Amino acid sequence: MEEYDNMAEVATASGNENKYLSFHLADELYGLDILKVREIIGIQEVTKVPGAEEYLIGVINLRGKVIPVADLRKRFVLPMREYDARTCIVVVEIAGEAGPVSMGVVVDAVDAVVNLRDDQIEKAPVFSSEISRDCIKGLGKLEDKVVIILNIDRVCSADRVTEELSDEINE
Amino acid sequence: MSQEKIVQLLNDLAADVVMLEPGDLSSLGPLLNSIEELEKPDISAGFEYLLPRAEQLRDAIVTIIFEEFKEPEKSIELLSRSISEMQEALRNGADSCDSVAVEESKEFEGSEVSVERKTEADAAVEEEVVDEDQSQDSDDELFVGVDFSQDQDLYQGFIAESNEHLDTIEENILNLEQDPENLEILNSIFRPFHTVKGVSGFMNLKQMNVIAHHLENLLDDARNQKFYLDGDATDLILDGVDFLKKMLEQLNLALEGGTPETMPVKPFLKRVDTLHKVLLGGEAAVESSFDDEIVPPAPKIGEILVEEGVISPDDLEGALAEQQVAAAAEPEKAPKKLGKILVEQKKTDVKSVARAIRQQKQKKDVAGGAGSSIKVDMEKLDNLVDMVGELVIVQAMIHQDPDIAGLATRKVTENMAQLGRITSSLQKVAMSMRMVPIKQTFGKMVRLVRDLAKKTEKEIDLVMSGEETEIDRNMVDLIYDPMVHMIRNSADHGLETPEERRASGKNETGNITLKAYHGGGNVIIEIIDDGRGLNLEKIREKAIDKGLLSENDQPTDQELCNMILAPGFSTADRVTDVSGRGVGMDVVKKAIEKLRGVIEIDTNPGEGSIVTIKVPLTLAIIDGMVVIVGHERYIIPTLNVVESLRPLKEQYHTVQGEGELIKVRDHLLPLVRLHQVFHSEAQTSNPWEALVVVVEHESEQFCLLVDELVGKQEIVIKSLGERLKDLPGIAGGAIMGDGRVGLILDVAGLSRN
Repeated sequence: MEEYDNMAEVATASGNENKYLSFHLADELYGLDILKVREIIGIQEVTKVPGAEEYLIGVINLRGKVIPVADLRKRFVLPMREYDARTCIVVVEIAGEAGPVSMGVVVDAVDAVVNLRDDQIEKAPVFSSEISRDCIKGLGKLEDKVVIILNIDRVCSADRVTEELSDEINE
Repeated sequence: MSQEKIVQLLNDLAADVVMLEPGDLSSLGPLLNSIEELEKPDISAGFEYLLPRAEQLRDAIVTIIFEEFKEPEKSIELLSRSISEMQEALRNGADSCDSVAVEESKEFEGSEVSVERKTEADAAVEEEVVDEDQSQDSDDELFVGVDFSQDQDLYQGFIAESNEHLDTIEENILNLEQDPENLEILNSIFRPFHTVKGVSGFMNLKQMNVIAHHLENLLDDARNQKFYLDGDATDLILDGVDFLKKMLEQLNLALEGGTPETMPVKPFLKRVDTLHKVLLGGEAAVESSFDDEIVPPAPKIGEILVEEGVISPDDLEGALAEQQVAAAAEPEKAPKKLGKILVEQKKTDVKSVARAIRQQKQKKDVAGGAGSSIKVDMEKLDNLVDMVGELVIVQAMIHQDPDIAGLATRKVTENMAQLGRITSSLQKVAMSMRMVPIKQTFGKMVRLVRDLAKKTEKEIDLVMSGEETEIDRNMVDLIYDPMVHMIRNSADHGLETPEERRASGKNETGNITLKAYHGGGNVIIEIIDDGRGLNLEKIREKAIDKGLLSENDQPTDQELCNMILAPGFSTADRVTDVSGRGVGMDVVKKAIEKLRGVIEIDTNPGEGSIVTIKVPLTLAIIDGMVVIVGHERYIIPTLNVVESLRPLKEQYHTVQGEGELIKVRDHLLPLVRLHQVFHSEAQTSNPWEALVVVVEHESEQFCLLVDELVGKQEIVIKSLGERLKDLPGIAGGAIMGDGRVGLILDVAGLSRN
């Protein structure tokens, strides 16, 4: 009994515990640092902005501020599907050139807030050429499932390093 | 006051000193405050023997501030020792002998020449020392020993604040020139210098501190009526302001990681000192003329006390009567202070009087110009405006909601109407908060005209009206340069020399009038001079020469005037005799157009010219025409719209099956299909079934094919954020009446397409 307690303590001490927002995207479970999440709103009509990058599907009005919206399915080149009642826009705060900026991210459905210790997160191997490694922070192991933890700053970042990288791999 | 209070103050002091960290200058402020508290007569009463020590302690702290902790440990130790000695003295009573620490602190001060000493020292005696000492660090680097990596915000705030102070000084100096005896104006110049000196000292910006200090000394003597500030002195002070401003620029540069230039601090200080000495030399002659001194009006102590309810009006009258009796009895003595009489009569206590005196001071300060306003972060203000905009939209949505309309009882209708009124006035207030009077910009022109008059050796009177006219805060800075340019032109080219003016029967002093007023949703600024006016014949020749005009054209005078705004017109050979500044008038025109404004010039040869600048009240709102293309709404700035029409099939032409043209009033204009540019779908593809909007950019016209016209509307421009900037053809976004985002078209961008 005593031994068990000790073990539990060791486990807690071996890593900081962080909270992540998990969400569904094309049959997979993704997560992002809860500290990056500003709010979650239902899907709404998005004004298309011509000339923008493909995955930036447009802009919305968030209480008087105009913010861009990215579709994660498009971003990760997953098959598109119709938005439904569970489709959400997660408003995240990402690093911009001049301080943090808000951005909407369209996901299939929001799942839960999960606690993950650092030792529960493993480094991600490169599976896919579409999502290059620096977009994925790691793989979080929950009891029965795996959460793909995203580096949302990289996912939404303006430079096209990731795309070039994937092009290279494709070639 | 009680011993307890003093003991507590000393304990606080001791604690503060313990917490003091080397290099942490800002925490010295509270220390100074505590000492000042201690020195207050109502607190130290009965313990006067502590005062010399307190004073020495303060001197020591001041020294530390200026010496920027050369020997931090030693100074802190010294401080804590002198405090503990004060505590000791308090316990032992007045008889304790001269303390060791105080002696040491004298030594400590003496061992290094403190900046404070240096600046106050009699320049004549110590000039040698000063020179030597400063030649080491003055001219080399401006910000020795300043760590910019810390307290960036603090320095930024300092820069902004100091610039404001310097602007105030500038404005008031010019007032002083009109009225050199006015003590109130003098005070309003002295005070900002004092603040700049104090804060720069605290921020460890020694060079700024020294300059401000020298100028402050000069002003202080003027304030004490030792001499007048003549033209040379005001010039010098203005130079000082420029010098300090430049230093602030360098500081800003340094903050951003750049390398600040060196500045000739020493020669400037010498100038100040020399002039100061000259002025002091003439002291005796001037002093007698100051018999009728002007006392700034301030509420009387007695009135304040009555207002506070401390004494009754009767008490006040009694005291005033006594004061007069006493004054009559001993006329050679200074009149007894009213507060003292009241205390003696036991009508009030010292504390209330002290509070009243403090209040009186405060009121004086307010009367001295500091209005009752607060500074608000621009971002917060923008947020407020955003939120109020949203409120208006939501309010409209609720109002139009069919469910609400269904249960519209009288009460609901009334309340809804009330809500609407409140939201719209809230919106007005929020928008008005961004507005500032144009006075600030006008104020800067006073200096400009003064300098120009000196430089061109003309006599110029600047008359201003409508300074209270409000304009968007962001606009103020942008309107400044074009105004400066036009005023320079008026002073340089427009106004004649006194001799010429006399010859043409005009008053020798030329007039430049600045006018501002609101008209039709715009701010209109007029710059009027009564000079020689534009030489229309020369302009005509030049325009023909440049191919802007053909020999046969018969332009009106006004058309001719505005020719000088055309690009390439004014840069080469000058129309007027005095050479310009190398910047063409077309730059001014472009700057104004960027603000979505208009500039016009009119002239009466021989009588002067009028420059009219018309800019919108705010940059945040534009008039737009809402159009629909496919499923999206776009907004075309009304400024760009020429007309809209449904062309006949016969008006539509193609060139080689590709280039599409619409013939509008005998002009063939290219057709731009918006849905093609934006890769979206249109409802109709045949121009004769849809609509075209003729738009114009820099006198180049073309047609935009749209599906529908919705109407004209005032819209608030929003940025699409850094990820979506610089998109071809899109200037920004706007939140429409239904809460969705509409895109504003960039006609200039489309014309390049």
